[in-house]
Amino acid sequence: MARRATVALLATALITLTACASPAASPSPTGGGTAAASVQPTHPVEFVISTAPGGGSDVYARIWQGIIETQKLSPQPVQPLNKEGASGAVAFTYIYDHKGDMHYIFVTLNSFFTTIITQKLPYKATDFTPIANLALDPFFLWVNDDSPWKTAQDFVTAAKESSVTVAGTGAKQEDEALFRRIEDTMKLKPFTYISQTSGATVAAALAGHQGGVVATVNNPSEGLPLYSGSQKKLRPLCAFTPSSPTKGVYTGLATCASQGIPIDDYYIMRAVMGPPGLSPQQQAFWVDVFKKVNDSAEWKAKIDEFFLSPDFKSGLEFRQFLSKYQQLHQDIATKFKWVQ
Amino acid sequence: MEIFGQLAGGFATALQPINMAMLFVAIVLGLVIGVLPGLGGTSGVAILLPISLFIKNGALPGSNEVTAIIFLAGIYWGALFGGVITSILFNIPGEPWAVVLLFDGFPLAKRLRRPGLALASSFVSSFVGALVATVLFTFFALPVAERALQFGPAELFAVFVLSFATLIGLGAEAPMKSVAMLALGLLLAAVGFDTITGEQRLNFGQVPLLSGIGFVPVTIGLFGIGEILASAEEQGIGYVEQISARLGLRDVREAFVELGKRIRLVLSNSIIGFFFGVLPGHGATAASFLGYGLARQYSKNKENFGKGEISGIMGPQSAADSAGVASLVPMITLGIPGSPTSAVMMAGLFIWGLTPGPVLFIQHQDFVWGLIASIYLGHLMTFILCLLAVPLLAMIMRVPYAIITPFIIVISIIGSYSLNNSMLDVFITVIFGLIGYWLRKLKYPLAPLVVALVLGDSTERELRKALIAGHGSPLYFFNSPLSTLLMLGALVLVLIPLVRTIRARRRGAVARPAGVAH
Repeated sequence: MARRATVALLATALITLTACASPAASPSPTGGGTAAASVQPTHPVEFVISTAPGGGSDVYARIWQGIIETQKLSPQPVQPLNKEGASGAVAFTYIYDHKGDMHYIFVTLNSFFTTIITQKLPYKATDFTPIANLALDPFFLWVNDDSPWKTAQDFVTAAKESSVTVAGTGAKQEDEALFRRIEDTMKLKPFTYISQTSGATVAAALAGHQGGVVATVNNPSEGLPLYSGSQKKLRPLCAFTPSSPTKGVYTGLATCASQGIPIDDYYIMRAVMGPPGLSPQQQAFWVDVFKKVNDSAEWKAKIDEFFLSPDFKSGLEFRQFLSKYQQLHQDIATKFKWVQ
Repeated sequence: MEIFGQLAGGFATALQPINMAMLFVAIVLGLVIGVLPGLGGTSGVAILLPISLFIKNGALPGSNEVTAIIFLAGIYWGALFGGVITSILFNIPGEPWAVVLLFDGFPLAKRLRRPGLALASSFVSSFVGALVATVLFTFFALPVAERALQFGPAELFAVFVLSFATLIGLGAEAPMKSVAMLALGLLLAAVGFDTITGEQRLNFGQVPLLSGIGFVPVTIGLFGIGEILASAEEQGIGYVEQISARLGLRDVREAFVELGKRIRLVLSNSIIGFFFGVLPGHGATAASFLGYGLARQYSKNKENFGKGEISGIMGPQSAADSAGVASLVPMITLGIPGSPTSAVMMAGLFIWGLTPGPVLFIQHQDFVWGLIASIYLGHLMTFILCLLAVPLLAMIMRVPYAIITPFIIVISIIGSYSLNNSMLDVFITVIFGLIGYWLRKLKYPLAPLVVALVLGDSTERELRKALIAGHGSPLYFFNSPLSTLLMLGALVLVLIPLVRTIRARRRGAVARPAGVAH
């Protein structure tokens, strides 16, 4: 009896779920002419996420998925699917194995470059079909609120004298890449780098001086919970951006370049890509969908909430960006002997 | 007191009909998710995350972000209780934190033929654990979370060593066999991607193996499938008889009596589980093993463990449920998830436009206190539902095992597949099913393998982080008073059984004339 009742309840819930999730069956107006309108998903789409539920890119993917569903931008449901593991290698390989199938798209961040390079996977980042970059997530240089360092210069001076203990997400990924770039550019003593499992634990390590961590390069949104409020634990020294933030709590934060660390071109990309070999029409369908996501009021609000730099790129422009980042990460990997 | 006023306000929010209705729906969903092996609380909450956005946006009359968080958290509460059901009845863990229930829960249900008592014991201890944790959450959330930040790699490593130390002597009949199984578990835990160096380990170039060998598919195989194979053989010898499960709530009454006998254990495990749950990233699963180890250490009759000892159910279950509730504490107060499931809930907060952290307590009081009040209500609801279901669940055990067997195999396979939608996990389950049968035949204890597989990865990670932080010096583990204390505690726990064994040997040697023992 109880079992039957629970099964019935589950079924009801699932029906509600599908009812909520599946948009109107009518094809969405793509506006890209008749050729583009005819190419669209014919069954549910898997939106593959290379991090665990709750991780950084997971949140972005789920926000976009929510916008696609509420605005009915796809004729078929787009379902988030976490394929975490090995800094994305599992997810990338999964997508790679679905060549030419537009029913698989995935959210990418910089581990997309570093993981493919360092784990010597049998494909390149540029093999995948680019769809669009929606935003760039800046890096800040963070210290504990009780740190004696007031400017980035203080940090540099200290790091020239002895090895500074820093933390970041993963090993040989974007956080370590940035720290190694700083080390290389400023001729510092090699950082003692402690790898953590997520942006939140990186911030926690700094807040609690865990393992003697004194600096991180968290994104502004990752540092926020421990930056605001009465019990402020962290403090940003500078932003690795060309100009100071102009909105929200970080308004007026100095750029790192102005404090002597000349790095202002490194961000985490918040982008969407597809498997290799999508036809131009298939690619155009998704570019169109994500252009609409980008133009939505919801996403505009999130850009501010997460302190992102809006940066919609598709087509040739996005391709150029990808090859530039591919080269940048390849250079770091070679220089620091991440690959032999 | 200010807190009581805020809590009253929270109850006013949580008791709104829409919130109560969604809490009930969530708990039932959570129980179902808990019962289904493979589909865990984490993926369950993740699957329903898109729905929570609709709830938050007012898709239902009167629903808002408080309804949404109550809904997500309710799934977790249901899963915390429900995960044990298949562990106890079929020897298949429904959730990661129910793995440890395989050690004593299933033996009590099957060998001692008390499925109702096993289930009821688990539910009452879950409830006490959750209640203790919720009270601590209500009054000490912020200060406790701040303390948790002090736990660096050295302290966390010490905590893991302490957990291992409490479990020394599992399968003590054949110490060398236990050591071999422990080593095998650690070896399996090492497979996959090494997060400290970013290198591949022991995966033989196989990309799917980079995710590592999950302990859930392994335990489904070792225990679930392995047990079926072993039972099939026993059936031939005529060992297995039908269980005449008693209907009615007598088992429930008995469970309360048993709880009374162990109230000190359950309360102290609940408190320890709470502090363990607050530490980022470990949550209910690691707490359940520590809870089991502590229950065994406290117990006067250690030899009963692994054979259906009720303390072996109540100890881990109170710690696990308490840690589950506690894992929300750092998430809400500092924006640091205490467990994988609370990480998903935190993603929900971000998607709804709320920033977790101390500010949440100030700017969104109704949200925080509504959630806290719903934890009390949710657990009460889950508890009553589960207790009422005990006789019905126990009745399943009256069905001849031969009829249930195919059903168990099917849910085992589907469960492993649904973990990551990957066939690899199915192969792991089947292979470890065969290994489990073979290990049983050779009388190797399975528990040490599971413990090492579950705790091995995190222990290794913290050890290496600490060694990096200490520039390679092992003295780093005695760097802070906290880690020194924990390490010394662990050392004492390791040494006690050693000293006892040596003493017992010596006494034995004196009592027996030399030359007899060969």
